[in-house]
Amino acid sequence: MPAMWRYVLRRMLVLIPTVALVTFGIFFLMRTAVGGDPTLYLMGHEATLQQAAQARTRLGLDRPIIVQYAEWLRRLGSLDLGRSFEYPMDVGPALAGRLPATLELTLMATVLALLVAVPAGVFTAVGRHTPLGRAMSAATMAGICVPNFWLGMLLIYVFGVKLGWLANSAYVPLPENWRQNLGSMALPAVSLAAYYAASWTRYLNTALLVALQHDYVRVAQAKGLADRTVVLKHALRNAIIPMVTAVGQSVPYMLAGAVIVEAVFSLPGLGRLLSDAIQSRDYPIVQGAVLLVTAAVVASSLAVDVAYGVLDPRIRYD
Amino acid sequence: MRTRSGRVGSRLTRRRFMATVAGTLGATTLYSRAPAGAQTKGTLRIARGANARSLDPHINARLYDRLVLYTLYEPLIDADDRGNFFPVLARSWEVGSTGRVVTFHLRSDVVFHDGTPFTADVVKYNIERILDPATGSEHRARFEGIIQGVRAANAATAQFYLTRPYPPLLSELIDRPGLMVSPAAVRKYGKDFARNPVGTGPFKFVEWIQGSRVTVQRNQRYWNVKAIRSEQMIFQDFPEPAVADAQLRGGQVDVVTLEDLPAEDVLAFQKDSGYLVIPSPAYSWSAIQMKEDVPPFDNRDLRQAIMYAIDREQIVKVIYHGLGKATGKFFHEGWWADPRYNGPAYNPDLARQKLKASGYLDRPAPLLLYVQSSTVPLGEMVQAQMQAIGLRVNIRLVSERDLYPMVLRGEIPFSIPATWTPRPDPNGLAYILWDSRGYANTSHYRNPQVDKLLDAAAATYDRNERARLYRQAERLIVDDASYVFYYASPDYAIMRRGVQGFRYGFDLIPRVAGAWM
Repeated sequence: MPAMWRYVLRRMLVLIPTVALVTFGIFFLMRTAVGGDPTLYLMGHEATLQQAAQARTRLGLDRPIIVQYAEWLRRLGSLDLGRSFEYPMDVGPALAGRLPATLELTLMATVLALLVAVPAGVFTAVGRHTPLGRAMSAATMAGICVPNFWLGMLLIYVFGVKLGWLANSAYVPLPENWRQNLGSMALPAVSLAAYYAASWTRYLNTALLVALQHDYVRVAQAKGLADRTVVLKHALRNAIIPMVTAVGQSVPYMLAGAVIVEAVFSLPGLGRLLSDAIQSRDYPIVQGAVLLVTAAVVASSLAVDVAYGVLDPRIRYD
Repeated sequence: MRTRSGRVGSRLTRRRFMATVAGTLGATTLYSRAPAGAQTKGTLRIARGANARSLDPHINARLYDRLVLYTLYEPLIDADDRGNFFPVLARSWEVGSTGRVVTFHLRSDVVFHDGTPFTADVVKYNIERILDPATGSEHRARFEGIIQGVRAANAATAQFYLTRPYPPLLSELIDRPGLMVSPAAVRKYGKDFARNPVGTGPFKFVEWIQGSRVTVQRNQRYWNVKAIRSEQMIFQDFPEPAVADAQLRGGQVDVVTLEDLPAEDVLAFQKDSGYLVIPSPAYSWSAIQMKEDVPPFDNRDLRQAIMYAIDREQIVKVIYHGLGKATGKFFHEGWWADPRYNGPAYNPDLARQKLKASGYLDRPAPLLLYVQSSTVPLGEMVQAQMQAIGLRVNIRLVSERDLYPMVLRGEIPFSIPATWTPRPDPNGLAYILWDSRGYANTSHYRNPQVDKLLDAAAATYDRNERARLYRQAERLIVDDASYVFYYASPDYAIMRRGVQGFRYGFDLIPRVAGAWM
């Protein structure tokens, strides 16, 4: 087996204790530190303490926490994540229903941010002494400082209210109508991407400035290579490695940002499902969603490590 | 004497006549607004809040589900915006001489969306479903101990047998527990019925994208299909009221119905000729709540000191931008509201006197007021008003969702706001909140005189007598000050000018089925 695959396999095995630890932590935290009685949230103003007690028994919440956790693990073994307390559906389909919107949102935001960050990072490094370079530098600061919920509201105001370009901005799943889907995802993706576009631009800018001071760059310049080739082929290739780390490490934060953006644009994503579930103590949903997010974060960091090897053949998987 | 009784008699007749006319008008508004053969219009897009959970009216349906429920399902009877009942699935109804049998004569031309015919057996099934503990309906407490059973005398006659005369039953039946579900569909979908709703209503369920929207389509087999002008309705979820308002301005939605619309937005739309702002006929009220069996709130003088210390006008002006009304009472609408009574007013001198009489001034510890985290400015204003009479108060914040569960479990004895939406019958709230046996009597309020008045009022079908008893009870409850009422406000629906046929139910739930653009 090639070294890389052995490495991937090993990392996959690490996933198991990681997920176990995280879900165990969440299981206990939700039930002890966060507290609150899910059955009372469920029934609202119609709740009576007696009915709540009956509901607790029905949901198995009257058993010791460790027993509940063991039961959850046992079901997980047969790929059963349980049933939501609040929504009339099983956790699996509930998460699956919300996953596409979040995946699409984060993916679009990543692509968008990269499309801006790579050229902008190069330009602000190479042309840092030009007025445009300075202006772009200032713009990246603004991008980092503006909170995404505020940007989202601003975009709705400008494009929706003032320009009236969003007549059909209601969310439609991608397979149903891709045009309408992209229409409904554009502004959320921009809101989420703005911070990362700016932050990655600065990241690449710094990495490139460092790379440009290396001897190999001077050698390349001395050989008489065109500036363009020196920057794009030699310096950028080296500067992009730390950038890959930055992108990979942004995944958890992007998912967190998606919670807010999904709320502002009323997108039916995973983030909003999770934040609602935490507020209403919908334990099965919280556990399922955390499991999924943990897996996503571990997988993204694995993907980053694998990408290193592709970008830099000197890196070995031992 | 003769003249007098004659006048009373004629007034009652006229009242009945008016009720019938109002009922018919109400029914007309919803069910037959359009002229016969009118063309259907396209899609109506309605923004609602984001707490939608279930399309099963008997289990877990929240405020914003209810809006959709009335397009999919129908009750036996409904109430117009003045609280008068009108027939829907029942053609008529009558109460037997003992007051313990209520007979509904049903329409015979109604079928569910799945083809199941609507009959008296269906009514029996629905009520028994709620009463069955295995269903897990949160509405069971509303029927338990009151409905003994339902008998299907024949296909078109359903008789409710009650343990005692119970006039509030009719208004319970216009709410969720009275909406009729298809027994065949409940059996078919089991626990997934809430995602596959089947009713008799003017619209059929199309899809529910969890967290985003619900779509319903005109039911071509609806018994009064000509009255329905919209071809399709889309209910879009908006966690942020400000975003819903922006989408309305941008033309992406036609109607916005959220309970916590910012007052500034409501006022701005009211001034804008491009939009209609429709207030609900009934008022939600808000109060400071105290638990009577926990010191120092077991001290009536202290509670009354707080009652007189609250400057309600200032609260309405500053916190609510003048929208809504400053009031110290809780019955604001319907035949039972007392137009000559507005509850206690701001009176700092009397408040200081009461505080002195309470003996609480000598104690050094400040009171701890639990404030819902979304209403901090309100909490701070109330704190300042109490401090102005010499009562020291500290604030602790509680999240919106935690507030009521904590009150219910008796963990927080002093909190703001307690907000309740009126039911179409005064007994609805009065009994659960202030009767010593009420399931939501979280103040642990005990006043034998109030118990007696509420019992008597819920046992007679004579409206004048009931109104008299409820008004008496209201004054006692207000004066005992376990709840210090300060504010009442309608809900507001904002829509593009051109939307027609929208109406609010007396329960503050919009009935949008007859609306079109």
